[in-house]
Amino acid sequence: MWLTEIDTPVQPSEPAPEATPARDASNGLALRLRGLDKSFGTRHVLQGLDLDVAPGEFVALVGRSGCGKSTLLRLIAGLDAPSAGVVEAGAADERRLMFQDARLLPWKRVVDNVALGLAGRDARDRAMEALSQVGLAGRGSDWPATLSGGQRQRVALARALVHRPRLLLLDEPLGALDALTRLEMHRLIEQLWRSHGFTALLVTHDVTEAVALADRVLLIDRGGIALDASVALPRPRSRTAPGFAALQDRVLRHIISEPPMA
Amino acid sequence: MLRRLTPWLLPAAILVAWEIASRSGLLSARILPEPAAVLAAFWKLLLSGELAHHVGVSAARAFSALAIGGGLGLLLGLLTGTWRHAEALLDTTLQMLRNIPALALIPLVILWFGIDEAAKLVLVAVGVFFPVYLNTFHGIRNVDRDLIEMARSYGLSSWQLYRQVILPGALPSILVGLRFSLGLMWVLLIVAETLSAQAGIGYLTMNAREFLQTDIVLVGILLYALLGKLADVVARALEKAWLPWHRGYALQGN
Repeated sequence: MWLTEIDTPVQPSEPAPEATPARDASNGLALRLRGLDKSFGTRHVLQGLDLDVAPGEFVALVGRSGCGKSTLLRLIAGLDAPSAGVVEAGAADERRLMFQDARLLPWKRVVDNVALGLAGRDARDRAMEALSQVGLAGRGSDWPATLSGGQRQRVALARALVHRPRLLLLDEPLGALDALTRLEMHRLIEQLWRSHGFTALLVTHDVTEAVALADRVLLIDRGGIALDASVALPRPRSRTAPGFAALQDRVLRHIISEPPMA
Repeated sequence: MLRRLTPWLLPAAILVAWEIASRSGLLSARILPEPAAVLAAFWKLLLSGELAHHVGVSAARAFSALAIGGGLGLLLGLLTGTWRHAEALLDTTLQMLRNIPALALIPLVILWFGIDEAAKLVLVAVGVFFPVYLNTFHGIRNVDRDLIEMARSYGLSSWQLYRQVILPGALPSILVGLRFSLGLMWVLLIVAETLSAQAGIGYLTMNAREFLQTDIVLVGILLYALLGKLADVVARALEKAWLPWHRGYALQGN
């Protein structure tokens, strides 16, 4: 009853071969959710949610604020326990979460923030390498307080990637950034996703962002998935590409046509 | 240069006025000796080695009491801040005791410990215990929950979490407690040494009072002021050294 419309099968479609050159998705993790419930007191945020995500797929979760998309991400990340249902999302060290705010430790220099939780003698070198991947090679010895908002999120991205996660969870990590910085971050995230081959789950309130980045856009509403639209546009995507605006419009209209819960 | 001198203009003017008032006989030496006489007394005490002896005794007292009281405060603060059980067991008791001014304990302390070194140590240690305890407790409790959640999800063990997130997060607050304690330490020491002592700055001044040596009394008072200031400078230096990342203490990127 929660799936008001499914215009593509829930089972993931194969990535369109003509759209993207083959990318190695073997590093990605398959995600499987069955009958997921989450309630806080008498408020049911998620009800009977099923979801399958293929290894290496990039999925965006959109919806009104308070629709439960961040809750869903926290359940998958293992930060909260579901009230009922099954989450199969690999082991804790196979997935990494990027938060809305960067959550850098202010008392650690940038490189040590990236190396957080890394063991071994080469931890620092790996952290430096991850920093250069996000374009902050020279800032390793700076304090986080001296970075801009976009740079902080890039450090957070490096911190997540240095663990070579098979599933990267992104909880509106770009929400607080200005438009220009966001475009930069889109390019960076897409490029890293392609080279690392992890499965990506992005929570966002920005439909344009979802359509620009994801293979599939899921609309979360009333505790379930209200729309599951696959995005078959070639990458890297241009906002002016044919089909982009139409898809964006369709998702938006879905959000608006769903009356908010009483 | 002028900007750096400005704050010192007023003290210098007061000193000059004071000197003139003393020399002209407006101000009796019994009430307030002239600055030059205070300086001379200071010089004499310094040359005879008395000054170093008394300051050494006082400083040793103050810092051993700080080590005992502050150390205990830190330890118990870490304990109650970290474990809810410890908080449930200890915190109410400590909060009640906190409301007793340390100086109100003087009669009891004298009864229990006499008027020897132990009494002075206890008095100062009790006083400096609470600022360190309270600030350590609150520092630990106020570490950003989001940072702790993040660190957990990034696979840090409990010890790593404590060492890398909770302790550094609580450190600014702990140092605030230390600074409070350093200020309180000298106040309590003055009272303790004035009660009775065979050596120390308090002894120096009380002894001088017996013989109406107001210049030496003034030297003693100035010594306390100097030591208090010194303690504050040390506390600031510690903050600078241990909190280089903190906006309030350092703005350099490296």
